[in-house]
This record gives sequence, structure tokens and C-alpha cells, in this order.
Amino acid sequence: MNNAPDNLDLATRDRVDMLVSRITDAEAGTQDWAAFSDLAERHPWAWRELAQTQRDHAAMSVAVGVAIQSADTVFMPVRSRGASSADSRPRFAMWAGWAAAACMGVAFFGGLRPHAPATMPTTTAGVPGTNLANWTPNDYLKGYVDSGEKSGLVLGEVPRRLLIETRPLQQGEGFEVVYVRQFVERAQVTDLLQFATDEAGRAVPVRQTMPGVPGAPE
Amino acid sequence: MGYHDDSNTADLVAQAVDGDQDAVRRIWARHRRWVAAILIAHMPREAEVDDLLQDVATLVVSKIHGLRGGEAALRPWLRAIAISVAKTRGRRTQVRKAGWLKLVNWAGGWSVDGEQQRDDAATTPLIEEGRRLMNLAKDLPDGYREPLLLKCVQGMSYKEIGEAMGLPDTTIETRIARARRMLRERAESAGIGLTAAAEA
Repeated sequence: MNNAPDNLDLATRDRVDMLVSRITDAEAGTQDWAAFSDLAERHPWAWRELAQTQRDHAAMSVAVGVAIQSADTVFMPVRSRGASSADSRPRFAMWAGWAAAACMGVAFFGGLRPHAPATMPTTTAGVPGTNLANWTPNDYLKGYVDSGEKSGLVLGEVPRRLLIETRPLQQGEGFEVVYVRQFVERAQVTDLLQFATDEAGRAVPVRQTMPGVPGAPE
Repeated sequence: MGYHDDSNTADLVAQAVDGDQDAVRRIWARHRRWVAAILIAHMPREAEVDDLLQDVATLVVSKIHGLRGGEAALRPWLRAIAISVAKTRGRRTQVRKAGWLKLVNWAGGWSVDGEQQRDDAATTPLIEEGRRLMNLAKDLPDGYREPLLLKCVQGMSYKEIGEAMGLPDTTIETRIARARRMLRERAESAGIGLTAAAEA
């Protein structure tokens, strides 16, 4: 650090570094403070070292806090004990975002075998029938995609699926796979808020502006 | 760390190893923030921490049954997974992500690039200064960069960092002090600091 004189002996330099660092980390005891006061009396630049180090640490802590803030939205791909599949759905929705989209895609398309053969009640035009009682989950999903594409909500399904778990089947050959399917949707909103961190490390909403995008909120 | 859970860590680890998924979830909630800092310390610059963190989460849930050594082994084990993911998957993830961002840009007409959003959010000088320091810190030697970044995760003590890295807390303290000096020397070369702020 350039606050220290060039001819300073290495031992004093290291001692100041250690004390400044310990004080910055709130790990200094009474003896440390006494030692620092004594050193700073003889080497006043040590006070500036302390101020600069504390500022660096505060700035980096905020930056690291912002960088790892998204960690709070990364959830374990597990179900709570006794939770129904409906209970677990929102949790999956939360962590299966863009972060999830880019990782661990496995090409098991074509080899995918559901537990039971899916019955696909369709009309001759290939459109799912209207008897909802006979619809499979895939029928409902197809309805969501078709209807969403017509309304402009759904742009399509992300081709890569996120593999969560594989288990060899106990009977017969093959594997059971647990995976996430994702869909790209489009919406129009009047305002965007993003959570940032203020200087005290608290999450604060920040209104986003979109310069250059026609119709963007001011 | 940001998650209220009074459960005993040793009990949670034992339960998680036995297959209790609630215990796995609680362990993750307690540790994911510092694990993210480990990723930042070791991942390529262009990688995204939340992508890699999802990979870590998936590996943790699939491998925790093999964890031996109880509570004492948990932090080193999580760190080893995080470093492995950061080094082996960082670049691959980024290549895939580039394709996704193109799709979303086309779809919505908005930039959803995470880096750009953070630029918008970094409105205070301190945050901007912190980001510049963090970038400089990424070039510090391995053994110094990681403890320095971990110390910036709220609530991590020298002892906890030492447990994760398998080093005595006195070594961690020394490395953090030296890392700070190295970082400051680089920051001054880059014009970051109180002198630069006063002149601005």
C-alpha cells in the first residue's frame, strides 16, 4: 500500500497489515487495538491504511453480496417430506429458471419412457379431444402450448430438458429419469423492479428503465 | 446465513445422509451463499454464478448419501464440489447460455443479459468500486483470492473459512491480510481508492 513509506521495514509492514485486517474484520481484541494505536502514533499513515482497507472491504462486501444474491433463488431439487406433487410445483418453478436452463441438459429424447403408456385421445385432425376426463398430462400441456401460442403468451418449449435424477429400474431394463421441462413466455409490463443491495447490504427494489426500447417506462 | 433454522447441523447432516430430503434442503439454504462465493473465486470470468450453483445443488442432492465424516466434513465437501463445477463446467455453461440469451432477446425484444442488469442496478459509487475490486481480486493467487472473497460473505469467520478450506484459522487470517495488501496495490495502479475518490 502506498501510504507506507518506502523505507519501512518488512516486519512493521506485516504487523500493520495484520492489525488493520483484524480490525476491519471485527476480530480485534483490546490488545490488538492497543498495539495498533501504538504503531499509528509512530506511523500515522497506518490510520489511512485502516480507512482504506475498511472502505475496500465494505465495497467488496456489497459487490459480493450482489453477485451471490441470486443464490437465494437456487433451490434444492428435492421434495419436502410428505409434500404432495402440487406442493412441490412452485418450488420447482422458482429454481428452474434461466439458471437451470443452461445446465446439465441430457439428450434422452427418443428414449424417454413414462411409467405407463400415454393415451392420447385425439381427433382425426390430431387435436386433443374435448373430453377432459380422458386427457393425459401431455394433452393438457399441448393445450397450454397451443392456446398460449395463439394468444402470444407462449413462444415455445425450451428444447433442452434439465435432468434432476436418474435411477435404474428395479424391474426390467432402463432408468427412471426425473427432469424439468421449461417454456418460454412473453408478457408486457409497465414497470420492472430488480432487487439490488444498498450500502448496508439490504435488498432494495430498483426501478429499471429500458433505454432504446420503444414504449419503455421512463 | 440469511436463513432462520435452529436445527443442529450435525443432526441435519446425519439425516441428509440417511435420505431425509428436508434436511438436504435446510443444509443447502444455510450454505448456498458461501458456496456461491467459492464459485466466484474459481469460475471463469464469463460464467454465471447462478447457473453453476444450480449444478452444485444437483450434485449435492445426488451425492450427499455418500458423505462421510459428519458435520466436520460438510464444508470441505461442498467446497470440493463447487470448485469442481466451477472449473469443469464454467466454460461449457457459458457457451450454452449464449444461445439462450439470443433466443430470449429475439422473443421479447428486451435485454435480459444478467451482466447488463447488474450494470443498471450498480448505481452507487461504492457498489461500482466494489465490482472493480472484485474483478481485480479474481486475478489474485488461488490461495489468497478464495479466503478474501469468502470473508466478504456476511457472517463468515476465519474459523468457518478455515474449516471449508482445510486450513488453520491463523493461516486464513494471514492470507486475508496479504490478499488485501496485494489487492490494494493493484487497486492503486488502477486508480481505485480514497485518493482517487478525493481527486474525482
